[in-house]
Amino acid sequence: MIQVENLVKRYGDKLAVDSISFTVGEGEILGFLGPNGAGKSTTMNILTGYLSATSGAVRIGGVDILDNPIEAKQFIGFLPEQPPLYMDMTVKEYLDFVYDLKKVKFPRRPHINEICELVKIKEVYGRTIKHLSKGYKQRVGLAQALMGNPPVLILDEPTVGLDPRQIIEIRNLIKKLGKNHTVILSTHILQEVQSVCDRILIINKGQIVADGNAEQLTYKAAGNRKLVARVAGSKTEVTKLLRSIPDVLRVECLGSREAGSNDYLLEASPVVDIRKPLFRTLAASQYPMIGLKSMDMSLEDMFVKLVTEDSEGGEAL
Amino acid sequence: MIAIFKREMQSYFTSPIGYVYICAYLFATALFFKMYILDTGVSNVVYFFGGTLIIYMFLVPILTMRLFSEEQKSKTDQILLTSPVSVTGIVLGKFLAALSVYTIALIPTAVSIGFVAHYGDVSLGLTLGNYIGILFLGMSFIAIGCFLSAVTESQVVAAVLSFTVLMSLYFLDTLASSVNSAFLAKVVSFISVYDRYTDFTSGLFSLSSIVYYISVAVIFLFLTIRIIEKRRWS
Repeated sequence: MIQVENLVKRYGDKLAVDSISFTVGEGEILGFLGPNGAGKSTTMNILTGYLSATSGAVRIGGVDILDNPIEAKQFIGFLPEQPPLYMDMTVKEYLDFVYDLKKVKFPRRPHINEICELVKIKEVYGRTIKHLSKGYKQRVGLAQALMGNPPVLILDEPTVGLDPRQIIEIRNLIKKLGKNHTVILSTHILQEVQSVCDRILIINKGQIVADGNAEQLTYKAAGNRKLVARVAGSKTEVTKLLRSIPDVLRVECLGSREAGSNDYLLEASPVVDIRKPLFRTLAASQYPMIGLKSMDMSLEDMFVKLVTEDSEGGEAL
Repeated sequence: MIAIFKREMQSYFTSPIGYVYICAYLFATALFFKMYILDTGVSNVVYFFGGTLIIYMFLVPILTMRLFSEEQKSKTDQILLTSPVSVTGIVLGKFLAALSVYTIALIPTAVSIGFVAHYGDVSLGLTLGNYIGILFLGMSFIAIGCFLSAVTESQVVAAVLSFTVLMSLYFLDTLASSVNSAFLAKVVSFISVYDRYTDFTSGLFSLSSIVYYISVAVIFLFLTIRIIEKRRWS
């Protein structure tokens, strides 16, 4: 649905987007993740035709956004970082304007009604936009993006400024929309990409540093699998026993957190599961294991690792 | 283009700008009407129309200052530029909305002229010629205002720039009469926007002047389109 090839955007000397390429399939929800100033908004603005790329190509539904902007823009609903609202209009006037602007083919009233119900703005329909709360403004912005039911939705930080209940509502709405739309959303909230997106693109300094779903990315970044086991009994005996288990690469005693027991950090290769041999070995020697915790990297750790690694000039994934 | 035009018209009359423009225009023309017609007791509308020319350099900036600057400032240009409309459509929609308010303001003045015609002798041709002249003059002024509104994010800057440019054009006339070189005088009077208008006041329906005004409007609208398109590349 969306194809991006070697996209470059230069502001004077500053390289905001540095040769980004990716494709998004139909019905996919793609999350753009990255620290502030990583080039997320710039990339989105180029995808929607608001900015022009210095070089590279963007095709939406097979149509090039530069060669044939009017046709390509018909496929896109865009919610910018700051919703493009005319403050002196009422919600009704605004949506009527957007309906006309986007030359929507559906019958006017039923279509606008449907959108209002979807984003839950019926109760503010007759009010002037400048008097609305931030949450409602954001939803009117979302309504604007949905006008004409475009197959591609590009949402720049759609949940910023909403309260926790509204955030959950909007996330559920995006998931629902993702069933029959292609969605690209940007965010710097990690839980958001984890809960909403099928696929995650991490951008840092204008480059893609990781691409995949949440499990793949954490798996890739985590390296060795880490477990913390709490075992009752003598420290030296247990350490020796743990070291004897095949596939365990490293054992480190973390000290005692509970009387009569010690915590041990175990590292193993990510391709083997050492939990069962661990249990059997300890059981056979009558050392009770009273706790076991996986120390897998969260998406958050992975994100921090990727972003800092890159800025230190280290090797990216 | 129609959607933009409709929104712009709506905006003129939900904000005070449309009313302020029309009221200010009517107040100023009423003053000129009293000075040139009622006080002199002469039914020559030419003086009246000629006198009102000075009003436009103050008022047209009010009409155009907001058009593009405000969209940029509030980032609403993002919805316009990412919708399936051309930049030409956006610019023309806004231009025509401003021109419509400009034209609406002219209508009540016809009542005053009708009033004079009832009691005195008024040349219909001359009156019509003047209205046509004012309309074309307005086109070029509004196009200049549009362009200057597109170069800045600030309404105030746009208004001041437009006012300065229109006022400079006005003084170009005085300049034309004071330069020594005949050639230079000719050049200055050729580009003089107000000088052109005298053709209409004298009842001459000058095609070249109309072409001139339309050309000025087209050039500045074109520049407006270019400046908006260029911004995407910056």
